[in-house]
Order: sequence, then structure tokens, then C-alpha cells
Amino acid sequence: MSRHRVTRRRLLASSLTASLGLLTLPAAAEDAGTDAMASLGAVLDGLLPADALSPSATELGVDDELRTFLAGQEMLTRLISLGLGWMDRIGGRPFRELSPMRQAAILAQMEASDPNHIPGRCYHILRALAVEFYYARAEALGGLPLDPAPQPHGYPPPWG
Amino acid sequence: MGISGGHDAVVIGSGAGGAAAAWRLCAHGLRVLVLEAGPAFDPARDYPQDRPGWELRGFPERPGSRAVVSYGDLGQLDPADADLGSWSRAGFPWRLPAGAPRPPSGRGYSHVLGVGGSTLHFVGEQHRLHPDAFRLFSLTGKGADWPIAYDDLEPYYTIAEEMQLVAGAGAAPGRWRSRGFAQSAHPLGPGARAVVAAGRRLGQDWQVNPRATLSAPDAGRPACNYCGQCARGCPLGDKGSVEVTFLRVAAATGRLDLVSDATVTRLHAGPDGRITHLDAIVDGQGESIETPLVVLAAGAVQTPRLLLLSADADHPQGIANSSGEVGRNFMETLSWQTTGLVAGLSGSHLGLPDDAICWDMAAPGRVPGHAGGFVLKHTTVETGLNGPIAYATRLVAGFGASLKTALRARFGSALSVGAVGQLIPDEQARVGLDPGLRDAHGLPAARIESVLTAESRALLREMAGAVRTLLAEAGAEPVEETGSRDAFAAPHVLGTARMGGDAGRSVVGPDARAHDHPNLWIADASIFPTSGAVNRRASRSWRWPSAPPMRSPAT
Repeated sequence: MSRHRVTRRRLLASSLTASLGLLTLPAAAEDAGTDAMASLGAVLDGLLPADALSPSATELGVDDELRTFLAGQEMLTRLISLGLGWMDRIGGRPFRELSPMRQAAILAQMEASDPNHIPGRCYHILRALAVEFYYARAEALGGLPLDPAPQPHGYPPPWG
Repeated sequence: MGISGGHDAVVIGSGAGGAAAAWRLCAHGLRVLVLEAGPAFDPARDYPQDRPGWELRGFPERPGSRAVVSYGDLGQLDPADADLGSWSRAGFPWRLPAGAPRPPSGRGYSHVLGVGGSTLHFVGEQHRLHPDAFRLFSLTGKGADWPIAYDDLEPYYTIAEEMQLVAGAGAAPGRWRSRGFAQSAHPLGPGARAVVAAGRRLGQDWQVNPRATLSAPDAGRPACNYCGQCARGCPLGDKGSVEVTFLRVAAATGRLDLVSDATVTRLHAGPDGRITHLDAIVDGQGESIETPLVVLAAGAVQTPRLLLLSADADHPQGIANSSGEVGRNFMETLSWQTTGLVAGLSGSHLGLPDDAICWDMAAPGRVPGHAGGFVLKHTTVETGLNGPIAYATRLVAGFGASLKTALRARFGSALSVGAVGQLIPDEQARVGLDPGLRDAHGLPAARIESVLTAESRALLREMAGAVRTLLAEAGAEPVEETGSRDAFAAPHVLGTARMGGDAGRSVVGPDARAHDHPNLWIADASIFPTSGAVNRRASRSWRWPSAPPMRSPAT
């Protein structure tokens, strides 16, 4: 059923271009260095860390799934590379080497920034993709009143 | 039986209208050929709903299950209507600028080409029009009157509901019933109970929404187990989509031949106006199929397209189009929805989609200053708020440990109320042929033009106001709103081959037979003169038990 996942995510990713007139994307290599994606795992775990009830994004392989998804999507890859490059520079060291507190501060700055600029747009796109890959996994449902899938049992009454 | 002959009737399309027509014809002893442009779906393969990641899978697409459609003028985003703009707390914050063209939603108008048609992804609501909805023009001076009345149709509503084993309780206000429902009503989910309580405090009359979903096993089908995935495809067969109801019974007569992946490309009329044969592409091969009777049931977009594609020297405007009305009077779905989070509410992700309904405003004249009305529904599950991805991408913002904690705390506390309103078409609203875009067979695609009029936008504002008031009464903190102002996203399309008594201003008569062709009936939502402010799927099925070919096949 991955075909359907990709279809939905492609729709999601296509929103990248919505009202994108204000946002120009220079080639990623110009800004992001040679390993633009090196901090991807740290960013995903910053968005979705492990806790007592469910694992982190990278423990579920969200980083690998995201890299696979990005293959062949030039504009989206470029945006994320630029965003990650910005994150690697803004803290004075690569994002993956920063303390959790400093990482959270950078993510909060991106969340609050103008979504028509690269940090803001990158945050929202990355967050949406991360959430979709993460919560599609049964292991992520810890603490939620849900079965791994709606069938075969359904959710018959009584309900609360 | 060969596809090219030996049938008493050909039905084009196997959705709500075509399936009901095929069943009725078979029941009357006719040998029927149904030609369905889309594929046959296999629930076990195509929508089992038993694997993780289910939230990401909408109703599946298979080759040929989506029509090629283009969109013309859909209007612009008027800044004066900014209060009707779509937004969500956790969704993407960027928006199209004021003045931008109103776009189609990501998937355009909502439909399925396939055996069962769009009932494959409907949630099973079964509504009747209000008797006054048949006299909209007489009562308000707007829209149109139907050439038939509620009393004419009531027996056939009943037949259609019994065929689909509709579960319900009581009659919707004003809509008298000759019989009760076939099955007992489904229980209300926790979200519906909260909405109903709030509505009653406001003096509203909320009821259980009638549903073509089994509340008890029947007809060899199991009862619903409330997985909440009706729109993604029902894997159990408890939902009364027409492939497990009308078509199954029709097939049992031994007189039904149903061919999927069969696209009808042209109708041919003889000198006396009768349709003599049709062209179809079946498995990539062209076929010419003779028939004494045709029932066209391809929906409000593909039905006018086929009629227009069938233009010839004797019918330069297309088949059944001497009035010039084919394609006109198109009606999209005027809709609004607000979602809020309610402290203390839990379990709102449980229950059937659209399980509770309020008809108070769903009749002409019920909304002061407006010709048409609207229905209110509890829509939490229908809008997909029964999984964590929906919550995290729409309702619960933030990141990190706080996101995961908040999502767990808030899950099941969302409350959505939706409104569907009466849309009165104007001169611009139509389906035509695209001048450039072609389908897989090289034929012009349908092109939809639909601009919300000032009247429609004003009713939309009334709908939004009613929904917001209700959710405020329920104690909901608004976190998301969506509506027709910002995108064309029509789950119910109507019009384009209007029914009427005047052959110069309509396409079919009161019996749904084409004015121009004595052996051509149209059996889908295209014949609706008005939309009636309810879901119309049931009303597409009702017409067919009553139509003349079932009483007089040789007519």
C-alpha cells in the first residue's frame, strides 16, 4: 500500500510550492555544505523524541523512510537541505552536536518564524512528514487508545 | 452471453443510480447489461484496514478509478470573505493570497469510478429531501421546482431503504414515512452525544442519522464493528454500498451481466430519436452494442460529458440536448466544518461517521433571508479525526516531548460539526468539454465551472455561524475550520441534466426519460433540479424503482 502513502505525501509535499513566490531556493550545495542531511536524524528526534511510552523517530527508522521518500523530489530535497544547513549554522555547531535544550530552542525559533522563508517553511514540511511516518507505525501508538489497525476488531460499543 | 447483443437494456454506470436501475430491471425480468467504466474492487485486497499506517490510505486508486477532469473558473478568494477562510492550529500556516483563484482541493471533486461507484467511499448516510424542497421556486422565487412531489417518491424511498437495509429511528421532521426503518438505529458515539446535548440546550432537534450500515447481521452480511473507516472502503460488507446490495440481488436473478473497465464513448440515435446503439471500449477494444433501452447513470459530471460527446449531424449540441440544458445547472457541495477541542471529552474518535444530524434548517425558508437551508451534522469521525496523524497534523501543534504528551492528552477530545447547504446554480455553473485535455481514449475530458455566488457565500456564512455557536455551547476551543470558500471539494455533485416538465428548459421529464429520446433514461444526480440541503445518495437510488422502463420495458 505504499503507493497510497506516497500519493498522500506527494500531495502534502506539493504544498511546498503553495504561495512560494516569496521563497526562492538556491541550489542546496551552495549553502548546505557536503553533508546537508547529516543532522536529519537529530532534527527528527527533536521533533519526536523517545519517552516512556514510545520510541524516537530514528528508532522507528523515520529518517530512512524520509530519505527514501525524498529521492527524486528535487525541490523538496533542496528545501530541506537548505533548512538543515541553516540549522547547522545557527547554533555555531552542527545541530546534531548541540544540547537538547539548544536544539529545542532552534526548533521553536523555526516554528515561530515566517513560513514564507526557508527556516519556517522547512519546519512545517519536516514536521508534517515526520509525524506521518512516525504515527503510521504501531510502536508509536503507546499511550493512545488505539489498536495497531482498525480491523479486524473494530471499536464496538459501549463507548465511555 | 456476448457483450454485443441479447440484452433488453444497457445501464451505463454501476453507482447509486445505475445499480438501482439494473436491479429493478432484472427484477422485472429484463436481461440487463451494466457497463462500468472503472474497475471492480476487492475489499480484502484493496481496503482491508488491518495494517498499521491506515490513516495514510484513503480510498484506493486503481487504474481507471479516477476520471480525467479539468477545472475552469471556480471563482476567486474574495478578501471580504476572509472570515470564511480555512485554517487549522497545527496545519500549514501559509495561505493563498486574496484574489487568487479558488482552487480545486488536492483530489478535485470526490468520486470513484468502479463497480459500486462513489457508494464505495460514501459513509452511508441515507437522506430524504424535505417535501418543500420539491417546490423551491414556488416557495422562494429561487432555483427550480421539481415536476414531482415527495408523495410521489415516498414509496420508492422506502423500497430503496429496504434494499439497503437502512438503520434509523423515527422520521426526519416533515418527511413522512409509510414504513419504519429496516434496522434499529446505531448508537451515538461520545462525540455525537456531546453535540446533541449542546444542540438541545440551544433548542435544536438532533436525531440519529439514518445509515445504510448494518446494526445487526442480515442478508448474509455482518453487522458493523465500528472501525470508523467507511470512507476508506468497508472491508466487511456491512456498509450498504450498492455492489453488496442492489447489484448483488440483481446478479442473483441470473439476468445481470456486469462488465467493468468498459467505457461508453458515444450514444447513437436513429431517425425516430430512439437510441439504437452505443460505442464502448472494453479491454482496449472498440465495441458497438445495440440496445432497445438505455439507462445512463454516469453521474453529474460524466453523464453530460457523454451526451455532449455524442454530438452528430442530427444532434449538433449532443444527445438529449435540444434544449441546450445539458451540462448546465451544475451544483457543487456547499459545506462548512469547524472543529474544536473540548476539555473533559474523551472517545470522540469512536462511533460511526456522521452519526447525529439536525434537520431544523434543512428546508426552504428555514434560514431567514435565504431560499435554501442547511443540515448540521456531527462530523468528527467523518473528517478523519480518529487517528494520531490527523490530530498531529491538524489540531495539536508543537514538537518534542510536549507534542507527544499533548497528543495523548487531547486524543478523543476533538469535536467537529459540519453543515451542508443548498446551492442554487447560476449561469456560470456547468460541465462542458475541455478544449484541450483528453482522457486515456483520446476523448475530451469534462470541464467543471463553478463559482460561488454572493447568495451561496451568504448562506455559507450562516452555516459557519450556526456551527460556531453550537461548538461554543459544547465548550469547544476552535482549532480548525474548512469550507467551500477556499477550495472546490465536492463530495456530492448534482444538476447538468435537469428534470422538468418543459422540454425547452430541461433534459428529462418527470419520469427521468429524455425529452428527445423515448428509450433513454437518466438515473443519477444529474437530473436533480435542486440539491435540497441533504446528502443525496439515497435520492439517486429512489428514482429507479419508480421509472417507467420497469413497468413497460418496450416503451
